[in-house]
Amino acid sequence: MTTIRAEHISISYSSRRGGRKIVNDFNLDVKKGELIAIIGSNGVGKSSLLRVLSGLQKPGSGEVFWEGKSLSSIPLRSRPKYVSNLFSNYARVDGFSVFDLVALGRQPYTGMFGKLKPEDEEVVRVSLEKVGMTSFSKSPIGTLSDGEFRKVMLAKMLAQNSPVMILDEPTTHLDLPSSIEFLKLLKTLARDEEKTILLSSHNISLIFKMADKIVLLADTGAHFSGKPQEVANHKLMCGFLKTPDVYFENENLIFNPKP
Amino acid sequence: MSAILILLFLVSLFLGSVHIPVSALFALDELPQTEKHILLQSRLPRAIVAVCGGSALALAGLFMQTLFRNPLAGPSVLGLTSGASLAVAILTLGTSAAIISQYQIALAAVVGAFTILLIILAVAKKFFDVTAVLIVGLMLSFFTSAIVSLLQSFASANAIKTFVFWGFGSFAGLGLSDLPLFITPLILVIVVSPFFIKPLNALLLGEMHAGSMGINIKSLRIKIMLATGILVGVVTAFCGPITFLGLASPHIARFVFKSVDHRIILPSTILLGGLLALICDIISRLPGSDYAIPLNTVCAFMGAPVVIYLIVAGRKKKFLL
Repeated sequence: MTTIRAEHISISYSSRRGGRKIVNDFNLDVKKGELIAIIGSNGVGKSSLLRVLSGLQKPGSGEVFWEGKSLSSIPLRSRPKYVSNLFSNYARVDGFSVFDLVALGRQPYTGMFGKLKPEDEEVVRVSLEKVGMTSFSKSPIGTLSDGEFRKVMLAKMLAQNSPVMILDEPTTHLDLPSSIEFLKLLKTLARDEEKTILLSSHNISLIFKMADKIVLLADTGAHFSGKPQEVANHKLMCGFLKTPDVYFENENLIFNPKP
Repeated sequence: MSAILILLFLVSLFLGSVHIPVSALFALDELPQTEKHILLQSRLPRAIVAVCGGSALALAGLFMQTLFRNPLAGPSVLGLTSGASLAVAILTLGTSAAIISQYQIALAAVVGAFTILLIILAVAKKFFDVTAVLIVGLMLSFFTSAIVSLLQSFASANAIKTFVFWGFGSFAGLGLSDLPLFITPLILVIVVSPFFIKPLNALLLGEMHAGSMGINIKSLRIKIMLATGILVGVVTAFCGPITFLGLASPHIARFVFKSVDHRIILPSTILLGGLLALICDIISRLPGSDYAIPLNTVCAFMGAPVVIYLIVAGRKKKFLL
């Protein structure tokens, strides 16, 4: 089943020296329960593309569909029940307790003044449990490490209870163990709860092992998407890696320098 | 906190150079005419103005601090207060009118505040970035103070006196019959303010996050600024440019209730604002003496150290914005 479909998306930014087109005629069909990673150099438009797919930015042309419905026909208010987001830059408000922050994810379901019902509180507890942060429930956000904070934000997305989760560079600033832990959590959510997950990342080595599908954006505006092996052996990959001295081990899903 | 507010309200009613016993509250009709007049036409409206004005400024401060996610933002940050000051300066210093009524001053202040608000809203519509709005607001206030100094250098001593006295700030001067004009707009904004609780909480994590929670950011920003404009414009119009109450109250609320959640902070900031305004007003009347000091002097003396302490102590405990 298709959850998110992009048709002929192009994104461009206008500047004084003329417009710059970063994504050109982009098409994508995301199936339920897939973990899809978008890779590409800095500035190719990964974040912009994720914002367009999340409905937070209008594309220059083309259309986005959520479950077959055109995004423009879905009111702003009901969108958070369908897609939740994690952005790379967050205002970290130290005074929030972990529980209260995760409870923000219940906002689309609460009444006018945001009062939590017992079932909302239960969802928050379960979400914290899924990311293994139950013991931090009462801690203020200011006392958390980057990795812990990222997991709390993931719990907030889970509390939002959306079938689709879109994450912009969720592993930046995380050390290797935390990155692996975070991606494993996402993988589990995709497999066990059939969450559809789209993320962007620079962590090529991990992403090629974990993702079901990879979308490679080239700085020419071209793109290619497919299984990790297909993308790794595609000609656009050479342009992205900017060196012919690397080859991809198809059986182990890793890049290696040529002997 | 409500109990303290009511208590202070009563203190404010029965404190002053003319002694009126508290028991008079239960036997109003037996009170001599002069005392009754002082109680009903002077002290009662003054206490009501202090509570409403303080609450309004505190709420405006909270709106600005959350919208700009900046602990130093206050009602004056958008340049609204300085816009009001400029308009009042033009009226008192720039015209040759011999007698200027309080209503003319109030009208000038509202016009001034809203002119600045319109400029700020236009900027906010054009730019997505809050920092741009904040900087334009700050620059506007520099610009208006420059014009005010220019006007002052050419004005007569009497005109300057009128302007300076307005600048002291005061909750006095409104009679019981003038009250509805002052209270109605403030109460209206305060009553609808709980509807901002959810979007304000979402805003704490940034505008991008609020957008992903289905909130129309541009329209929210315009609504909040309009509400702030009404609150600050009306209070400044009738009470003068009152400092620190708007900046300090949200900080004290966050510190006391150890939370940044607007479900807790919004109502407590409103209550605290009214309470602090009453305290400042009572102190400014120097109980027991025949003298009084300007309200803004008291606000700054109390407000500045309190804010510094809260920021230093709050940073350690990680309970601030």
